[in-house]
Amino acid sequence: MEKLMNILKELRPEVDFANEQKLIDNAILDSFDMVSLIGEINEAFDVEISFDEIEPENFNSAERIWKMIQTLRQEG
Amino acid sequence: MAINSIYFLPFLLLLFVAYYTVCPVKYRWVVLLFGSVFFYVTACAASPVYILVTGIVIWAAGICVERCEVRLVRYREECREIAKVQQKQAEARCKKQKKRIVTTAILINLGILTVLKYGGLLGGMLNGMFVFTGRSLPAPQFLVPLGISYYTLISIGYLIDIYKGKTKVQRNFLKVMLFLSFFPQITQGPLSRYRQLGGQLYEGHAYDYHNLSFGCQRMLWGFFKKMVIAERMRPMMQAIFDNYESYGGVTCFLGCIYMTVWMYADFSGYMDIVSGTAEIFGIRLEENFRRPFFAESLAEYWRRWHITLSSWFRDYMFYPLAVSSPAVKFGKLGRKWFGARIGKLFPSLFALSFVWTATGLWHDASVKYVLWGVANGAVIMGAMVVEPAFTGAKKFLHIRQESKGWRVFSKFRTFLLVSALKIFPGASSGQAALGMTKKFVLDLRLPGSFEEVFPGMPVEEVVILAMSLALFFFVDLFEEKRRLRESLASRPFGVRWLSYAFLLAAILCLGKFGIDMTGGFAYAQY
Repeated sequence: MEKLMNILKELRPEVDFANEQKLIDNAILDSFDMVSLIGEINEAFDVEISFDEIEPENFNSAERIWKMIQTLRQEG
Repeated sequence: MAINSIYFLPFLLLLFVAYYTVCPVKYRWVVLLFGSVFFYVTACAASPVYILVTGIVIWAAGICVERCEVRLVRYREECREIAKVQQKQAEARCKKQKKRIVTTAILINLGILTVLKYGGLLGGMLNGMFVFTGRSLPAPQFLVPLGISYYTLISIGYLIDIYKGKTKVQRNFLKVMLFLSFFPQITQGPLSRYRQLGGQLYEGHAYDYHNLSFGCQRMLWGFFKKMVIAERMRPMMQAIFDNYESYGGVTCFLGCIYMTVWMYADFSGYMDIVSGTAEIFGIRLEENFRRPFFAESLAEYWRRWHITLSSWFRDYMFYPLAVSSPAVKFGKLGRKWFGARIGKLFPSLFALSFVWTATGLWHDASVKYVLWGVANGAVIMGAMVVEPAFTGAKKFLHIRQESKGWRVFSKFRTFLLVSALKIFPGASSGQAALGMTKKFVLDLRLPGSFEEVFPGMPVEEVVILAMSLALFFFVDLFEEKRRLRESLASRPFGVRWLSYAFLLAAILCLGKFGIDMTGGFAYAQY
């Protein structure tokens, strides 16, 4: 989780990722942020986030993103 | 029949009466279907067979996808004891089948769109390539069905959503047809998502005074923007683009600014009329505009302008392309060549180049629109790449990003940039666009007369236009901070009705009325 938080902080230092629950719904992360984030996660966690996973519910909070990474790791 | 034609209001009144008084709640969607079919047949010069084919294809694809899922659920229930590996294999098989069904349906829809809308362009390009043979094929020319660019994208969105399990399959073919052809959105959007609109269409709404008054209020504002502002600006803007050779660069640029404002008044006016129409029936369409001239960058402008089209391209084209394996490989190459900071932008740049070419082509099957799309994409991509350098320069010059002055400057700069890019859709041809661009740079003489600033406009028309635009601007400015409609609704009876009466009188006394198949709306041609 710490690794993920570092990636998120580097992407958007001004956002409170520990508490924010609507990163996508409130348009805090835009589409370019999303693509950069997916690239970083794929590399850091050795997973492959596909188009099927790109849903607001998977990216709305750091917790949700972490949960998605865990699921992908288990499936992989 | 167009929504600003004299026939639309009696049509709406009849539909309103039938919806709320004749039909039982459960079957009220049938009234909307009848209305939509009638509207489509009377507004569309081409055959309605094409939209029917699209409807059949997505309805059948939906049922096939649902059957795959049902088979998978049954398999899981019957074979609870089997190993996880086999279950995963069954899931993968189901996913593959669903993908095949959805891909086939999308290709059929895109095929129809390509042949009908781009057949002429492709035929012309092929003839150009094989000109050395001395022979040419007759380029196919079809009557393009009303709303084909809109309902094709809507249907593709529906198919992808059912594939991803984000929306339930609609088994009733007539309900699918209503979703595709719902009359307020068929001419020029918004591009609704099934999960947002479907339920609202079918549930059957009880009469509500709030919906009626808010719907009429919004329609009035839309008619004001269309009839009083857009229709007044159109000839002035057209005069500059048609005779750009006789004007200087400044007047040519004024033509681009007029086109930007005209298009906003025209398109957002249409959206207000159709959103108000749908609201009368208790249906909320998705918002397509969020005060785009208050955007501080071109990327933000596109998040505020034609929102449902931008979000369609983002969700169904940008993301799949940006996470595809070619984009990932491109990103790796980018990191190798330019380092991590720029390299991580490469997948986005890869996807954007396709998205903006497609956006240009979606607007029109012509080279000038492709150029317009590419130019928009190039500016957005360029801004992404130089952003750190730009931030550094601002820091060096002690410019605070959040300061009011800088924000106003950024808004003004974006407005001018958006206007400059209008040279491509505004000019009659690629050559004319280049000619006008040349004038921007080489012929900077200031307009020497009133005629060169407002071609073909008498002084009193300019005064009416200026006052109307001031009202339009202040309404947008107010809405940046508060919701005007609710604020107006909370005012005393006299204030409210005086405002409505003022708008109605302005439309009737100052509006420009004209009837054609699409009501002369800019985006109805796409």
